[in-house]
Amino acid sequence: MRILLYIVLLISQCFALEKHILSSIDINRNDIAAKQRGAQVFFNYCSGCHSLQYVRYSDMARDLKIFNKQGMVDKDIILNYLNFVNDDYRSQAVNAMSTEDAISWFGKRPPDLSLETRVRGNNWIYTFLKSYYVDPKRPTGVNNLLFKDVAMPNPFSALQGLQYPIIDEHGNVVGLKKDPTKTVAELESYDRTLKDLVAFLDYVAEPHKQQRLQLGRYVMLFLVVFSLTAYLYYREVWKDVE
Amino acid sequence: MSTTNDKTSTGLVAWLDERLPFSAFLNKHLLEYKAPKNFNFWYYFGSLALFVLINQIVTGIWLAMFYKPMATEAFNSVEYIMRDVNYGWLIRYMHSTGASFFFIVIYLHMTRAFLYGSYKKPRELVWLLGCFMFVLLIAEAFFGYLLPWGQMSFWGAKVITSLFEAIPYIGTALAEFIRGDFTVSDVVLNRFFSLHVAAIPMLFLGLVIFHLAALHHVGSNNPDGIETKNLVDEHNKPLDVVNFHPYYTVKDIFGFSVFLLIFFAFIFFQPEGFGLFLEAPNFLQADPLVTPEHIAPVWYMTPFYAILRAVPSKLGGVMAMFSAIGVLFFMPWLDRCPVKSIRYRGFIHKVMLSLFIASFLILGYLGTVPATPTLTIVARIAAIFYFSFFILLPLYSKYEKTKPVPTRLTRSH
Repeated sequence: MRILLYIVLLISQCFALEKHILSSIDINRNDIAAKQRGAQVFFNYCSGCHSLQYVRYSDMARDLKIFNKQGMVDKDIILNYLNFVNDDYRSQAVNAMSTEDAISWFGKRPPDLSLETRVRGNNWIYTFLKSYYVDPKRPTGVNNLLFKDVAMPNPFSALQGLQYPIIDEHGNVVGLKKDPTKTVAELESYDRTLKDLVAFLDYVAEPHKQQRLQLGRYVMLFLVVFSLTAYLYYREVWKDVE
Repeated sequence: MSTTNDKTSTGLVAWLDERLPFSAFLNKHLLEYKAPKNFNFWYYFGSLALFVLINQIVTGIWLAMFYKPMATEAFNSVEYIMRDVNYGWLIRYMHSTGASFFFIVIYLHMTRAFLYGSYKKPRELVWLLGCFMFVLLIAEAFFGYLLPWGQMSFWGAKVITSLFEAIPYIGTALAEFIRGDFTVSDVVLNRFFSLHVAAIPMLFLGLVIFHLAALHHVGSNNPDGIETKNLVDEHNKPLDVVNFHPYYTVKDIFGFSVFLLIFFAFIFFQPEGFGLFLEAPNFLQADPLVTPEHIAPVWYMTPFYAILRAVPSKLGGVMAMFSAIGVLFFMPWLDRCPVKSIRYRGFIHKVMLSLFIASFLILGYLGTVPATPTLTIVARIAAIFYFSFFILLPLYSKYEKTKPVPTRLTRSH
């Protein structure tokens, strides 16, 4: 029965996949440095528009080991390089954009990204940020292959360059041409930047994920030993029942 | 029963026994409860259901300490639990995963009753009480699912409460009465919170007591479907049964530990249950202005949801859905075969029961995906199979060619 159920669960997952093939990305959750770089990318490129309302700078700095020489959370780094909004290193990472401005600029308020990787998935965000292309018909000058007519401009066009669409005879965008002025090394560097950013957003969406995975291993180990012991005890007690 | 203990009890237990049937109660319901000795895999799920219930109550109490039942604060308070409360994430995952596992356990528990005819005389009341608890469990899960105030919480509640609007004449008024508002709002969140943490759990616990009292009064069924209660040898010694303690307590502890292994594997490594326990859109705060692309209830309600969608008219769909649950109550009287266990029943019943279980699983899958014309036809066929099990059962069960039923249990554990 249980196996049948899992088969049903699995099949339903296959059907739930989106039509668009997402590029997959592996995150090394032990790589603190990647998450630190991701935080740097986020607060320099994204935080002008997007909040992380459930994240406190100080908690984030503690989790990402942004410490000073005394081993305390480094207030100076937070206030000089991460929090550009106020002078409280313990505040939540809420941006300064007014809703009024946001609506007049983009038509809607840019979403809070605290839980974005849990809504969309890491692969989606990674693919999304690589799918911008030049489209003069859009007010921002760019469109997105994964998210058609997205209101968000490409924040990374300086790093990635401009991608141009490959259009088939029906006028559909079927692929993207990379910016010829960017070198392979530059594009690889952009790819690493995105991976760092996604690693950071993955941490932000569930700050205790690493603790969960680590603790899980010990709990599993204990339960395996406990189950074996319980089984042997059960066999022992039932020995005399014919 | 109590006589054996009266001799040995001393101290506090003796003091208690003079004032309260303490030992007698413990012996009757736990220590010396006579259980058939051939319980198999399927018999783990009764005690497991109680185990999951306790998990839900304990984790629920802790969640309620930090949760705020307000439309503006609910979503934030869940994230507060997930991030700032010490081990709040663990408690929340234990509760959310526990809800899904409760249904897995209950569905398997009910499958056992179908397999071995546990709903039949003299256990009709045990079955009926169980059916009431199943309805309450669905209600409890539905009320609880609104509380995180995510997109799926909101839109799921909106769809389900609007179902009552399909009832002629009183529908709109009834839906407003249930919600206390014209739409799903802060008012609804507040009352669902009250129902989820107080009303339904209290009713549920009451029914658990009656379910167990009725079971222990008539004695447990077993995979052979033979009554073991009055089975005694020439010295009036009970045959084919063992004392619940230590035999089934140790066996159930083993069952619990394997259950916990699977349960915590999900909690620690797959708490979203592949998007089925915690649905991705529910990580977005409820927004009455943005409808999610595809609204689906949580997996444990999807078989009934698929039946609802399979019927072209809304009222017809609602009636079909409620009768899919309601028909379960009539099982003891629909099945007219004197043989209980599937082991000795006729070929036709084995086929019908398999088709019923298969149709339930297919409907469950179909309820999770968007309806397409082809899938709707599949859902209709599966729904017909689902109902035809109950319709045909009283017709064939009386004339079924059964195998001879032994007088003693055939296999040991």
